[in-house]
Amino acid sequence: MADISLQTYTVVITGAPYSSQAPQTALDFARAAVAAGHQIDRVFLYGDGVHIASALICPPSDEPHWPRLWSEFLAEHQIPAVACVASALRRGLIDSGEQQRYELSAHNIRAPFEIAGLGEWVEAGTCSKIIYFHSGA
Amino acid sequence: MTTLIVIDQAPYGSWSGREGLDMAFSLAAFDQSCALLFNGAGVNWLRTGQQPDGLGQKSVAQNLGAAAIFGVEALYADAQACQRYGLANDAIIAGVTLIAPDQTFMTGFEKVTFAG
Amino acid sequence: MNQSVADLPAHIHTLHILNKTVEHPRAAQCLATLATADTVLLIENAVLSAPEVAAAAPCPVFMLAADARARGLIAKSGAGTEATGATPQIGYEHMVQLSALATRIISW
Repeated sequence: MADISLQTYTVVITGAPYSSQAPQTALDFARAAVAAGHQIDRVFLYGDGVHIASALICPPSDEPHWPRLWSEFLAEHQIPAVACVASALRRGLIDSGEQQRYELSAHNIRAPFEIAGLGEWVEAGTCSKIIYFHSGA
Repeated sequence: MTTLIVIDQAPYGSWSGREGLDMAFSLAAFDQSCALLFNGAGVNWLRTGQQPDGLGQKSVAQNLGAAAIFGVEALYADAQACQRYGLANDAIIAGVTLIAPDQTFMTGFEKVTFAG
Repeated sequence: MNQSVADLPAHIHTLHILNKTVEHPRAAQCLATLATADTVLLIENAVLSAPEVAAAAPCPVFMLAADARARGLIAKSGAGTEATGATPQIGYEHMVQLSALATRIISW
């Protein structure tokens, strides 16, 4: 019998919703990790993964709504989630602070996601086990 | 305790290599030990004489030139991939170590990470 | 269909999480770095390459049952029994266990 010690994970998602399976695999992993008593200290969205934080994604009603499913999971378990600022700004994912700074017409980050720098990811690497979910393409 | 960031996408046709470089520079900026591996088509980052002004992009080789200054500890390239893409030693930018990215090489790194 | 914890390796040096079929260059990179103390977990499209990966890998290979089922790959083994020539199918809870057991995780 393998001896499983409780872990602290950081989940990094780099695959976009609706062009990769990464958001679903990552969510099922995260649910199973929490159910087994492990801690997820944060979720970090990088590259195309930042689209999960969009408040404006409207999939057809018979498809899963990955941004909503992710925000509900994060809120339920009070897990902080950040989208990398450089990845997010390049792809049009904007919070109110960046909207003011760049004088943009709108902001579109879905709560509880926030925008932060790669420093969050670097810090995660020093204190938790990082698991990455990439695009399969 | 070194993190190896792997870039296996050719430059200009995809952004994931640039986002890999950002990861390496961030680690270095926070004094975390890191190195870069150019694998597969990623070795094309290392070719001298890139002139991407016609694409509206900056030369990735120029970005890489800053790697040592930022504190990235090493630039590795898959020797076989260099051969496949016609990258002779004199066509590769300075400071690159040619290796075989096998089990022995990878074991030396605490973490091995792709940007996407 | 799912394995009990007892069937998972006791120690894993590197857990290789592969989500691409063998045609993808990164699958070849993954196979080139496998060691006997490692474990491979095939997820998403990689489950389609299970026979080829299992034949090439010097270490245990598992695949996610949800991904296998979605793609019509039916498990040949019952709960806790030894699979005969088939890659064992496991659940997300076992993916969590493999991750906890591993010293290092590489997502390819």
